[in-house]
Amino acid sequence: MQVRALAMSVGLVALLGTAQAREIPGGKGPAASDVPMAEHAARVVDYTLRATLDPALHTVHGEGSIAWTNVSSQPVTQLWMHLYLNAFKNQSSVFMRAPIGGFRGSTLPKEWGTIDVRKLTWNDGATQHDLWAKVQLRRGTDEDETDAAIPLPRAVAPGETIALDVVWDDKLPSIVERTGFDGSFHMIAQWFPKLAKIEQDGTFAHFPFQHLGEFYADYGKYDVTLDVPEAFIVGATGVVTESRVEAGRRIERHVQDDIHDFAWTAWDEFQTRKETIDGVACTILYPPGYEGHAERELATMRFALPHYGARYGKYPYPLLTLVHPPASAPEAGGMEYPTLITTGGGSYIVNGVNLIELVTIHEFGHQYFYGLIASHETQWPFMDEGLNSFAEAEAMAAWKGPSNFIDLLGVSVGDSEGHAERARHFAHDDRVAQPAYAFGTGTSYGALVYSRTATILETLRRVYGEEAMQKTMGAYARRFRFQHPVPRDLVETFQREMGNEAGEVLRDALFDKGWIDFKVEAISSHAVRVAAGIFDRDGKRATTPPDRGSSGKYEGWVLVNRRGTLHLPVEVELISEDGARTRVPWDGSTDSIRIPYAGTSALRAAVVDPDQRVLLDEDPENDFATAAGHSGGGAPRTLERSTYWAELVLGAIAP
Amino acid sequence: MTPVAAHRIHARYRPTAIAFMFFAELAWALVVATPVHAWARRVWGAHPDGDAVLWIPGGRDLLVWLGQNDAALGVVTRTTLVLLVVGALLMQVPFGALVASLAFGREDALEPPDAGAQTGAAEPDASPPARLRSLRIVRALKIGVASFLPLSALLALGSAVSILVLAVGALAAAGIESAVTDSLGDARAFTVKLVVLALFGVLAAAFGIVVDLARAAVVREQGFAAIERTSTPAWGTMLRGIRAALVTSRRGFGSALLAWTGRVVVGVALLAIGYVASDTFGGRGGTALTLLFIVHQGVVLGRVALRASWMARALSLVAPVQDALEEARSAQRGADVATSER
Repeated sequence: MQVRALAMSVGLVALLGTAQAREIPGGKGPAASDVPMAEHAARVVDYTLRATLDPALHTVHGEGSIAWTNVSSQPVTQLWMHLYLNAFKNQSSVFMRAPIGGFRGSTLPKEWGTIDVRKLTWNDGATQHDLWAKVQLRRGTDEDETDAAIPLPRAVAPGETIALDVVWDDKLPSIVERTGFDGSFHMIAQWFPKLAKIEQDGTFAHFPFQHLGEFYADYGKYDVTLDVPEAFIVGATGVVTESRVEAGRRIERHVQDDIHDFAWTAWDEFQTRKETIDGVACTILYPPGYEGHAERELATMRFALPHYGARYGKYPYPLLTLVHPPASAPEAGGMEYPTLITTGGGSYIVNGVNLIELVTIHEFGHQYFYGLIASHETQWPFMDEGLNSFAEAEAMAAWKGPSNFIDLLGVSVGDSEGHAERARHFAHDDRVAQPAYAFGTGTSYGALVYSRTATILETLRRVYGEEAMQKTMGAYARRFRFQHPVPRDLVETFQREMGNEAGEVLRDALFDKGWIDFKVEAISSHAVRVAAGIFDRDGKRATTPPDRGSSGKYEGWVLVNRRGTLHLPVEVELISEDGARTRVPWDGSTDSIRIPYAGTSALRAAVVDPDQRVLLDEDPENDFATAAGHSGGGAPRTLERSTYWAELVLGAIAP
Repeated sequence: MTPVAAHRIHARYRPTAIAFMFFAELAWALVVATPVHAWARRVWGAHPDGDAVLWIPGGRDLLVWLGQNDAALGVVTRTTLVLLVVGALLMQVPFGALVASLAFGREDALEPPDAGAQTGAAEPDASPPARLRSLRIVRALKIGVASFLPLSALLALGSAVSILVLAVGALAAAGIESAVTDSLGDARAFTVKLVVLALFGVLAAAFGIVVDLARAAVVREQGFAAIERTSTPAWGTMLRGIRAALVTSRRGFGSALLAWTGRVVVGVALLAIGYVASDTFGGRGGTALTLLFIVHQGVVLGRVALRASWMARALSLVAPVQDALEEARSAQRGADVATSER
């Protein structure tokens, strides 16, 4: 391919921006790795719990203490507590009555789940207050019991720490979404009474368990002792500090600081693989016969741990547990908790389809975009799922190249391209940046929160460059480690690190359904004729007869339109009849541009965004045009392949 | 026209018939490919790189094309399916011609026929094969046309039974997997499921072999009818073909299975070559595309030749049985006539 500058076109440079060659605003700032990164989270709430599992009844008895500090600027007179398991108590919960399909958790549990708090007391030194006696479990006639208000007998002053004692019983549901049991397999998450996160202004970020929503909590230290039958193997958040067997029971104590949730699993059939990767003790818990899956998950972590560490800061915990649930409990898979993730994938592994790797990388990515950067998942789901989907696609491409999702039978599909295609059909339906419960369907939630966000960020990466993107996302991840950022923090980081234009694109695309569609509207060129007539040149008079013929030069133009609200720089490729290809940058600031052409042969075709940088482009099928009288490349490959396949099918069905 | 001795039926003697079958299949495959090609050409044909963009790693334009909610997708899919079904039926004619060409030859042999060459019941001997000249294409096609109805009926019957066997297999496999999951675990239960499915697959394949034997018998009978200038009803031909196939299977199914399996293995190897070629040449055009076309067509030609080879073997297995059955039938007819005359 011949590529040359089009500087020969008079005045062109003045007309056009310099999209690809531009200096990235902020590019002279510190590299992302220089951005200071907190070593620990501010400790707000510490849980010291003991849980006993009865695997026959699928119940957990829990008791322990909660030390909570009012880190807001206001006195607090009421606590809020999440009782997530009650989402599965009946069909009147907010979770169950949401008319949401197209996403996970749409089936009724075969067995209901509940959490019953038996005791919640506060000993303030002088008095033992029974807080649970005054609990407001429901709001009005609403029968949802996942968001409990707990009035306090006196205000808790800013900076004051209170100690609560709690006793509760869980009845685990059959696995319906993320948590529950399947036979003797138990995935125990959202299982303890959990204080809602307090905000700076003294309000609590409390909410019922939403069907599409996830979680939000304060950081703290979790010291949890688990008590299961001896035959059961346990995987849990945090480092094991004690482990013993007593009277047929396995007792493990897990302790971890700087986290905001705790989940665990217990199964008497787990197989185990362990490997230390990049200084992190990785444990894979998997069903019998899934050795191949376990190996692929370990291979994924060998890539992912150092890759994410370099991009977003070193993984700060000493361990990571990956749980591959049994095939009969797929709803337990594909979920993230601090230092513990669940993966997934059926019994059969298809080489050439990297689904296991993709799921594993995605869930591990949540250690950053959820675990370490603890945004409000229910209010702004794109900030964890969306950013993490971008990180997942970026990592998959860095690891396995452009055909990173499917590379099978000659079909090549990348994760980013898959996200782009999924998101394209929902661009006008809803805003990306909105609460999980505001989405009309699970499908649009998935397409916009996960895929549209990933596509927006991937477009920015391709347009503004890998280096700028690494710097920006790296700075965001480091600056907000152990913090609870909001969308403004993200947009401001992009404005600061990548420039105002990129920041505006991000803001418009996230909040205002911003969209873009480049289109090559028209293309024309003609031979330059020698002008006829009398000409006085250099003091001499000369007459040029008409029809002197072609000058051997051609001129023309390409009209490119930009539809939509987003402004992104792009390149336009002009292709001459002699095969020469010329790239012309356009800053995309106007609605259209007429690009002049001058060359030694006619203009044959034009392609906008030939490198497919703008994945947000709504209709790539109008990104090119061929001049009248010329033909394009046709579809000979499609003819060859489809003929071959038709022959094979005919041979198979009509022997 | 004369039948080829059973032990002298070989596909390698009929390259023209194999080439004819190959070109017939290629021609119809081009027809089947037309809707998809027209659709791709309409959408991407004007691109300066043509449909090469569909093969760019990452597959963005491929996904856009397939995910466009384009009404053409439904039309193309339905049309292609209809063309495939029509093609499957139409291909019975060249297939019948191919089998006829394998089973029969012209009297003017390339080499003097040995004693057993004139009868399908001949026993194998050590002498070099006497090669009969191939039938003229028109003659073979006439037998193919005459065989169309019974072959189509066999195609329908064979497809229906295969689908039924595989469906029952799928249900049985799922049921067994479910029953043993608790005791064996997911992975082993899945292996059991695969084994059960494979067993039903073998059963479907075995049935396919019987159907192929019936096909051979059907075409052979139509060939004899052409020699005798008589016509036989399709239904009766098919039933006699099935009977001959069942008797043949009872006597020598192992031999048939071995012959069929060997050719299937080679056929799969050819497919692997086609896959590697696709993978290697990717979406390149020009000479690479031409080379890919040649490799792919070589694969298809090889598979047609394997099919011809298998049908030659099927003919050699079924011919003695069919002749014996025909003799018995003639004897019975003679006895019936004698009885009625008395």
